[in-house]
Amino acid sequence: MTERTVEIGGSSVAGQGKPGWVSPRYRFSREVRLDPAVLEKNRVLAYNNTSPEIEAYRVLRTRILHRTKGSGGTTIMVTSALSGEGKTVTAVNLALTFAKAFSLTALLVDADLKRQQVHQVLGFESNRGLGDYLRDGCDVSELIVWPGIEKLTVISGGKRIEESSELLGSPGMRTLVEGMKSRYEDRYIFFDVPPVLYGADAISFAPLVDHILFVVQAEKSSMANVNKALEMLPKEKVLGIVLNRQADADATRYYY
Amino acid sequence: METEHDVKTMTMNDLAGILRRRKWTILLPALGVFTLSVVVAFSIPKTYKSTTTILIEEQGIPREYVTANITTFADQRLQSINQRIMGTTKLLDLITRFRLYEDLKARHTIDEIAEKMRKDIVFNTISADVKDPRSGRTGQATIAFSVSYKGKNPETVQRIASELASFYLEENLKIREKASADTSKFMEDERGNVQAMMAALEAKIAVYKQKHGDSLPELAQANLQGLDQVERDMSRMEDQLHALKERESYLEQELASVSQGTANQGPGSLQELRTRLVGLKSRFSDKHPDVIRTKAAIKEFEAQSAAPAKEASATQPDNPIHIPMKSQLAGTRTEIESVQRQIKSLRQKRDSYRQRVESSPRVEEGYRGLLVERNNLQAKFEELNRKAMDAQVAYGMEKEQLGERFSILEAARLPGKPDSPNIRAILLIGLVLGLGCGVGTAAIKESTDDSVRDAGRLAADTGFLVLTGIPEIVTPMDVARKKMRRIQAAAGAVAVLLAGVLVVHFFVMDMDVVLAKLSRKLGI
Repeated sequence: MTERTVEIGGSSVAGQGKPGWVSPRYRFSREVRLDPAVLEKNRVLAYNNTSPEIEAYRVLRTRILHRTKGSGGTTIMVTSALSGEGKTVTAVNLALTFAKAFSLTALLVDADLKRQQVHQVLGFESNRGLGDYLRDGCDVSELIVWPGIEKLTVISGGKRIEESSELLGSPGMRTLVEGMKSRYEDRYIFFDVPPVLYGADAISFAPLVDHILFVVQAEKSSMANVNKALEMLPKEKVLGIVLNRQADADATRYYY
Repeated sequence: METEHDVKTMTMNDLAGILRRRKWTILLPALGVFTLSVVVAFSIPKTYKSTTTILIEEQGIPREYVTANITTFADQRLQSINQRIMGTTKLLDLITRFRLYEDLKARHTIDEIAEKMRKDIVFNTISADVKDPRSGRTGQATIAFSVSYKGKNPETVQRIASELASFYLEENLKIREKASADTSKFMEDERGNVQAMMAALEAKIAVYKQKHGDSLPELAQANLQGLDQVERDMSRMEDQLHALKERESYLEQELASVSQGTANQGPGSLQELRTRLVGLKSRFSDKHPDVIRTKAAIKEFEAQSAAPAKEASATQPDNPIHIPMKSQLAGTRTEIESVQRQIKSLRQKRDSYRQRVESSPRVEEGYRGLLVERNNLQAKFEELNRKAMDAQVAYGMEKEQLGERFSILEAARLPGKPDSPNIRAILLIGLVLGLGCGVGTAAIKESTDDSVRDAGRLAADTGFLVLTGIPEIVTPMDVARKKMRRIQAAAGAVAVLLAGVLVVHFFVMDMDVVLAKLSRKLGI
């Protein structure tokens, strides 16, 4: 992984976008190279468009866009009832799918301060993350990583932080989210937050976002836990549920 | 929130889903139980079983000719034979002779070992609906029975089964022969008793006859006739006596009327009497009354002639008429005495006859009683005699083994394969039980598992929209891993198969035998 400060000029990038669309300009962001083999191993499919499963993320993207269009909210936190239900992989793939869409940019923020996994899933080393900003007050621009995928930036990495729920609910965090929202138009910001039933992080963080995406693993998550977790979240913010790792994906087609 | 998914109907898809989800839940218990059943099947010591089937045959001679004197049914007899054979003594004899249960002798008592053997002997009766030709009724009858013995050694098992069968045959013959002999002996004894009673009665009758011989009913007629005869004789004699008495009184009168002197005939009369005596003696014996009378007259003359003259002249006047008259009177008197004696004898006879005739009815009654008793005994004796002869014939039939007998229908065979454990059955049970356990566990898990299955239910239960279903992401690594697992599983299966083949080869039967059997079954 190389780390350098880059500037990405929207229209100057050949073959990207359409006339009139202004690509975001990232300053001071670190650039990393992603290894397609690692991504494949970590089930990050949206990196290339060859996988058949990518269609599901596209459907998800479309539905999210439909549902968020009216409200205008672009901050979405991705959570689940318990860990291991595929929330991080879903968040990564979703952010990638959004970035790949015409006229959309995506920022993926690893808000699971106890177990930062986004950078591991993407396969790059990172020693700075949200925690560094919240605790040490370092500059946001130092946190942002550009993984070489256009219109996608990532904040992930750094030390494990125990008092995560306090930090996530803190005014500093609120300020950061507000800042992120107002920075670019049409930028969707995905927050990978800890599972709802693992502590107060998700509940503390929910008021700061516009929408909540709830990930459920098929044939693993128990209905009781799902219901319990959903009850803790503000109903009006829940965009819907993503049924992850379905063995028979056709079964859900009917509901889209 | 009700949706059509709340209607719990199981589709093939659901079933396929359950099978996919629970495949290990089903397979692991199934494999576990099946493996256990394999272990059990091959670890249980093999026992062999040999069976003898014995037919109960009807008696050889038709019942019209000889009726068996054994009335118990075959199965009752079988029960009693069972009791005898299953007795500890008999079993211990077998245990000692064939060196059975050697391994138990150290830890168990004799009685416990005998009990073990009792459990290893299996006795079964074979019944059929039989129509009795005599009564025409249909009923269940034991027509055959089988004796089996179970043990560890096939040869021993066969020998014990044969031995047990021969026990049954012998015991049956023994019991039948003994029962028949007992019956026969009983009949003989009874006949002897009745015979003895008859002999005693005959003696009693003889004594009675002897005691009341004259009054017996068969002599009643003769007695009456005799009485009549005697009475007639008596009246005749009394008439004669009457005549003689008249004559005597006449002679007495005559003699009184003749004077004493005129009738003195002196020696001339004596001479005459002597001449008459000689004439009489030439014709009659000395006992004839005329001879006796003449002799008496001569004696009287001689006495008179020997007496002094005076006296003689005084008592016997010398009158020739007087002397014969006197002798006539004496003769008449002699006759009267004789007739009176005869009458006395006749009277005695008459009294005897009368007494006989009077006692005849009483004697007859007693005699008839004895005769009835004798006739009864005679009838009983004849009946017993017939029965004793029949029993003797029946005993002969049993002795010749022509009565109802046991014959071996199917001799004990050397068991080719173990009777237990039934490996096939145990394995099948293991398989079924294993699958049952697996399915049961899966069903319990499925019913207690409230994990999210489908989007419809999820949406219905949470009230939130399910935006999409992300399929299981399969990476090439997963595929490779799966492939590797399959290879491992195949290798495992091959290993298990090899182990199975080895187990079969060493514990069940040689592989070449298995192959031969298989090729025979498959018709190769």
